[in-house]
Amino acid sequence: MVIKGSAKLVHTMDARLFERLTEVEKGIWELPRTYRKKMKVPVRVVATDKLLRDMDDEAVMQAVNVSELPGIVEASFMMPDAHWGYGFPIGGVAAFDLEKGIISPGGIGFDINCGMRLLLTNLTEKEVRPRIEQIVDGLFDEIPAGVGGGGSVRLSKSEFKDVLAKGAIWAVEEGLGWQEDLRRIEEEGSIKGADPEAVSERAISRGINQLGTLGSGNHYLEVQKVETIFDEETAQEMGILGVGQVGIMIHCGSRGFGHQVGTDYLNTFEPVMEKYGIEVADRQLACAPFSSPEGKKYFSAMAAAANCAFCNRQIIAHKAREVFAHVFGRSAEELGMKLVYDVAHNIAKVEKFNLGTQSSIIPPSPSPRGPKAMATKMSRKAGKAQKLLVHRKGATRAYPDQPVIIGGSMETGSYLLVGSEIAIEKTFGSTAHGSGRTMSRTKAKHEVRGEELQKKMKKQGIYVKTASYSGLAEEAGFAYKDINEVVKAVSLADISQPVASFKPLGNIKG
Amino acid sequence: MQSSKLIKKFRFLPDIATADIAFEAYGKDYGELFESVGLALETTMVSLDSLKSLKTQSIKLSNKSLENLLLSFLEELVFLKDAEQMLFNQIKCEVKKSGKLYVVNCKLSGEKIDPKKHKLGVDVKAVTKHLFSLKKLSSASFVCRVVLDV
Repeated sequence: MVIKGSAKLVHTMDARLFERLTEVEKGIWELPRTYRKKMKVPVRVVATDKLLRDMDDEAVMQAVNVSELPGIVEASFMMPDAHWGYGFPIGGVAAFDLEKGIISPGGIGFDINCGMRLLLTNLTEKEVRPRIEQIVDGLFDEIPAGVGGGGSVRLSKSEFKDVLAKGAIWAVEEGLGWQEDLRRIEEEGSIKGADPEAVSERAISRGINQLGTLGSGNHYLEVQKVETIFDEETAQEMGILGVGQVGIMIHCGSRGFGHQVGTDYLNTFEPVMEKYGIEVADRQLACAPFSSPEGKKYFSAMAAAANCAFCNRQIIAHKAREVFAHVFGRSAEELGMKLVYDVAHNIAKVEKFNLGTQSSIIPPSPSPRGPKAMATKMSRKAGKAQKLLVHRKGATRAYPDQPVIIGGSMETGSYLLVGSEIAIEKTFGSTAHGSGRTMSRTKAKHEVRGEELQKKMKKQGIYVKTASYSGLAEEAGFAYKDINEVVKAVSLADISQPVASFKPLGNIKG
Repeated sequence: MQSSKLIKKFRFLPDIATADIAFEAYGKDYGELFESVGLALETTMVSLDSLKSLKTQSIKLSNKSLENLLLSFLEELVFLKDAEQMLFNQIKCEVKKSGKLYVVNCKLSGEKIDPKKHKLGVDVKAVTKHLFSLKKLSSASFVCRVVLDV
């Protein structure tokens, strides 16, 4: 249901649907599997009362569609920032049995491994603000943004295939990053099982010249300051020294390469579903059994696209380090430009979970906070784990001790959180990814002009450079849910807890 | 063909697809319908007035289904935007039935993306099948609805 307000459209959940949802645990609401005949598992929504009431019912119906897919385990989840997407809702999490379950491009999104990366500096707002225009202009020149957006990295086809196989490791080997960066990237920046031969020539042609580029839509690079610290100890462990410290947040994905992989495999999966006896409620849920040749091939291609995205964000971070080094006349090392973390929020991965109420996890890679944290976790994992294929579409992995980056709108700021054991038990180690749109792009453009928004933001102390004024208007803060409420919801359910909040000083966007 | 005339043959739908772009395009025949959907897609990415018709290229596609032909035509335009950095402000299409296949012959004119010269919009990631429809309005016109992932 949509109610037209003075400035924006506000979604409110249909009363009959709302009544069917019960708060089964603090901050977790369940729509029972009896809601619709074909549901195999219930839908569970992580939300505050307010966010649940405002949740788009079409997105809830998409989660219901997901609950009907073969081999789904435990529940079809919605994170508090959930909104309508293609097939799966954005903010959707679903785990599937490896033998009986499926893999679906609609559960990952066209922008495979769209994700967030956060770097810190040892600079303060006081040092950065006077030079913010020089910094943002430099970043805008060095990191192409917007439609098409060809990058400065020129590769042969075989070199690009190396990127697809290795991910961020390729960039570090080429001197476009630090060895220690890899320890602070989900899966150490390289998903195993990536097969460059599983992708089409068209995908390669679309992506080969786009490494080191941001893209457009809601993608951005932001220079931010630490606004509030909520958890001093964890903040310190993650490298946050105090309020006013400056960081750089990057939001982007696998660009045209990943988009083409998604397009190719949606087209591949649609006609093969009949062969496997799969019926779906929506064409965009096209899928294949994970164990089928088509399913395996898509997983290999998706992993290649995920690696492309890890490498893309690595190169962008390298460029940002170079720009800061140039502006301040000190090396990136001297400026303390360490990576806090890089995390995917559009991906499917094989992960191990103990099913049932006592579920817990075996970390697949070392903890970003070092081997000690990992050993502690490992020693607690005594149960028998089952491998599952976890789809996270607009959802972030939230393992215990792992940094979680939730990007807000350009105007409102962002959060750094930490994952939890509860996330492992309740949501297959997943949490929210952003603030979630509530107003369409077309509508937002009618509410404000990009040039006006840029001036307004400058008055608020945020210097923005954009490749598209109409694109800027589409990303206005009023088009999004309240990020504070999203963080409140994940904190209430204890699937992650806030560590620090960040406010923008400058931003480049496509 | 003047692009300004064709701009009137599509409209964006503000209340569909919150995070993306939806539009409806019209044509008196299949050829004109393809031209309208093509220009709607290009308009999402660039203000057509800021683009010049400096380079012309042709594409030919075929498919058993008219709907799938139209989707693959749009996918081709998205592909050319990334692979060749080309955006187009003039699109001329001819759609024919050849045996069991529908065939589109298309002439595209435009130029390479230049952020300094062009008034750019939002990048299109993919052409989706969500709420896609192609209908005959009357004997003299057709309408098509498309949702783009941006």
